[in-house]
Order: sequence, then C-alpha cells, then structure tokens
Amino acid sequence: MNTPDVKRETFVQFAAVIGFFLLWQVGASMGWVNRDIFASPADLGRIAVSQLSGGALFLHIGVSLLRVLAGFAIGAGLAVFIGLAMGSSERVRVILNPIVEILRPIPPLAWIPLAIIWFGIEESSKVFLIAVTAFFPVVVNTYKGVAGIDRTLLRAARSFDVPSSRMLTRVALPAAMPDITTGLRIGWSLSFAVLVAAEMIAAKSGLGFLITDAMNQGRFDVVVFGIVLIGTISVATDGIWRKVIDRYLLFWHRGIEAAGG
Amino acid sequence: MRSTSDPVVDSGRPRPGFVARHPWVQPFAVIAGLLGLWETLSILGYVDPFFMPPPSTLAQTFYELLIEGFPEEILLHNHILVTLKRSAIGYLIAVALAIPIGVVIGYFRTLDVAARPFVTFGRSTAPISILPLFIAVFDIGEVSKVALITFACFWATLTNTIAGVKFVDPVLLRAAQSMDTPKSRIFAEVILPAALPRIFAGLKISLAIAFMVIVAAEMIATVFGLGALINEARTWFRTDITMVGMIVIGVIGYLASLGLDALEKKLVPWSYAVRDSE
Repeated sequence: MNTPDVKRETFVQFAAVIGFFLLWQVGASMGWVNRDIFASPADLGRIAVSQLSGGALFLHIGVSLLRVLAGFAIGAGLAVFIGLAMGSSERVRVILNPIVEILRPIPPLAWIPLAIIWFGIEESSKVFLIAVTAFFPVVVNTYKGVAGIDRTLLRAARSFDVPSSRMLTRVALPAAMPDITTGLRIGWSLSFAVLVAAEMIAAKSGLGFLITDAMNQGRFDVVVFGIVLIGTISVATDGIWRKVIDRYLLFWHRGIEAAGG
Repeated sequence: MRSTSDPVVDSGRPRPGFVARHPWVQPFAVIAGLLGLWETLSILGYVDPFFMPPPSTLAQTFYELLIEGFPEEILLHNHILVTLKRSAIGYLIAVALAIPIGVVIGYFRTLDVAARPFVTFGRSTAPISILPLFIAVFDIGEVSKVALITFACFWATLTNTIAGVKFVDPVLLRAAQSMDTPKSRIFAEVILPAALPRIFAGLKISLAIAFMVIVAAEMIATVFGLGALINEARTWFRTDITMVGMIVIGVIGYLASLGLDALEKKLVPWSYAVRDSE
C-alpha cells in the first residue's frame, strides 16, 4: 500500500474516532443518554486521572496480567508439547486425540465451578482456568499444523540424514509455526476474556474485581472505565503478540508468502 | 482420489484391517479403557470421589437430574431448554444485526476504514465485563443475559461478514464487470455468494462464543439454566452434578456446531469446494 493511501486512512480513522467521542459527549451533555449509567468521555477522563493517580489501578492491572501470563504459559506450553507429540506419533495420537476432542466442546467458562472445587478461590484456580482456556486452541492448531506439514519437506530432511531430534525442532516446529501462532493468538484473547469473568465471580483484586466492586458501589462510570480499560489492554497485548510472532516466530515466513508459496 | 475398489490400486495389497475399516472403534476403545481405569482407581481409593466422582456415580447423577432435578427440583431438560432459549434469542438478534451491517461496511471502503477502530475495540472487549452495565440498563432478569449474548456474538459475525464481502476474489468481480453486469446483480450474484463461506465461519465462532458467555451469565442471579446448575452444584459441594452439567453443556455445544455444519453444507455447498481446493 502506498503512503497517500495510508495517510488518508489514518485521517479517516482519526476523524471517525474524534467524531464518535464528540457525539457521545454532546449526547451526554444534552441528556440524551442516561449519565447515571453511561459516563461521558469527560467523566471518563476525570476517572482515568483519579484512578491513575492512586496506585491501586496498577496493582489490578499487574495482578490480572500476571494471572493470564502464568496460566497461558502453562496451558499453551503444555499444548504445544502435546500437539507436537500427537502430530508426530501415531500411538500418542490414538490415545490423546479422543480425550482432547471430548473435552474441547466444553466452553472455558463452564470450568469455573470445577476450578473452584479443585483449587479453591485463591490464585491457583484462576491460573488453572486460564491454562485450560489457552490449552485447547493451541493444542488443536499445533496438531493440525504438524499433521499438515508438506511431506516433501520431511522427505528432503530425511534424505539429508537429519537426526529425528532435530527433525522436530528444526523442521516440524518451524513448518507448523504458522498454525501454532494462530492458536496462540486465539488462546491469548480467550484467556483474557475468561480471566475477567473468573475475577468477577471470585477475587479480591484484578480488573474483573475492579468492575464488580464498582458495580456494588453503584459507580457505573468506573464500570465503563473498567470495560474500556480491559478492551484497551486486550488490543495492546494482541498487538504485542503480533509483533513478537512476526519478529521471532515467523520472521522467515513473510518471504515465502511474498514468493507465493 | 481413487476409490478403494479400483483394481489397479488394490492388486497385491492386503484388505484393510478391522480397525482401519471402522475408524470409530479405536477412539471408543480408548475412552472405554480410560473410564474403566478411572472407575478402578476410584474403587481402590486412589482418587478422592469428592474431587473426581467415578463414572458410575456420574451416571447415577445424570439419572437423578433427569427425574428429580437440581436445584429446587428443576429437571435437567428444563435447564437445557432455558439455556437454549436464552442463547438462541441472543444469537439470532446478533446475527440479524451483524450480517446487514457487516455487508454495508464491507461494501464501502471508506466506511470500512472508518469503522475499523470501533470493530477492533468491540471485538476485544471482554463480553462478561459488559454484564454489570447491562444489568444496570436492563435489570438483572432475562433481558440482560440475552443482551450479553447478542453483544458477544455480534462482533465475531460482524468481522467475518466484513472480511467476506471485502475479500471477494477480484478475478470474479472483473469477470462480472467485463460482461457489463449491473452493480446490483454483481452484489447479489457475485459478492454475496462469495462472502457466504466466511460469514458461516463467523456464525460458527459466534455459536461457540454464545455457549461460553451464557454459562457465565447464568452463574449470576438465576437458578435456571445449565450455568446456574453447575454453579449451584458447586456451592452445595455436588462435584458430580457440576461434572455432569459440564458434559451436557459440551454435548449440546457439539451438537449445535454439527447442526450448523449441516446447514452450511445445504445452503452453501460451494463453501466446501472452496476449502478443499485450498
């Protein structure tokens, strides 16, 4: 895409966002929307300043991010390992695939009660819930990626006498990486949504707690602020993910795509 | 692909074995073996039945839910119907809104550019975080739950509809244009059919989202629905009911997605042709 196009697009988007906030502000000032429930942008700005000046907000953000990171690392890490094993060994696939396929249709949030029964309402139940959430999209995509590897690649590597341990790390893993990264991004955004729900049902800190706490105090302006904040963090972390994937996990892939492969 | 009865392929090869001819046998055997192992470990006392009730208990619990019900004697099929009704209403409203809006946004480039920040943001908001707001607006009853499903399903259907309309194969468009096809016919006979596979992909994602969100929404302020069932069971320390409820939710979600697949095959047969050629 050439530069004038990008400039024009940025301008249109900027104008649309500004226009939206202006309309919202005017609507709130004129009393078209109920200000007891929908805070105006100006109110949100004021809340943002007061929340940011106290340290509690950063604590909530930090706690939530740590929970997601811990659960995601466990769930996605295990999923890549199991997905690779299922994709490369028929014996492992026969045993594990039925289990994965039976558990997969259970929606992540339906695990909340069982997570609380097994791990109590402390940290570990949330980490478990995130791990379960991240596990399924990653394991399915990893397995699909490994099972779908171009056979010519494998035969080429074998004809060069590549040892089987290196086959896995140097051939299978990179070849499956486009699918694995798809799974990782789905798993990450799901984890975030699930974490907020888990924190709303049982927690004393974190972004979900911020929202339920504000609701219980009747502070709907803070609720709206929390919703916007969670959305922003989700967009931002997904952006970071995309950068990490492009730079470290798929840096070799763009050339192939450009070449039409 | 050649059929297996082709004599050129079959000559000299042994007839495929029993397991190869019946692909469902192996997974069933694995599952049966695991259930047996689970039951045995339970009988031997290696698994605490409170945390992990054995399959025989779960079967009894399933029967109990069918004829006695839980909580407050609400039978299982009532929970199922309530959950299905809530998700179906919310889902259908979302689809009815998102497909027309998505088609319009995808058709006009400037509108697509302008809408992108909002769509990205809407898709990224955690649906459950909106629930307090909906409870404030619509009260804590049915409407707030249905509205939550609508909100959650709207974005996935919308983004896929936009993408479907936007990424129509340019060769198809040029072919139609070169034959002086009027714009309205290009839209109805080229763009929409070409967009349908992606729209269906969005419908499937939204269905999964609907089931996920309804379960959580039902854990708040209701005793009806499968989400309420598994959460109430937890507060009464009935792990068995929680697990049976999870299995029922999984089975229903799976059946619903099978139904959508069948609908897609019927309505959009070219969707599968496209996918197979990729």
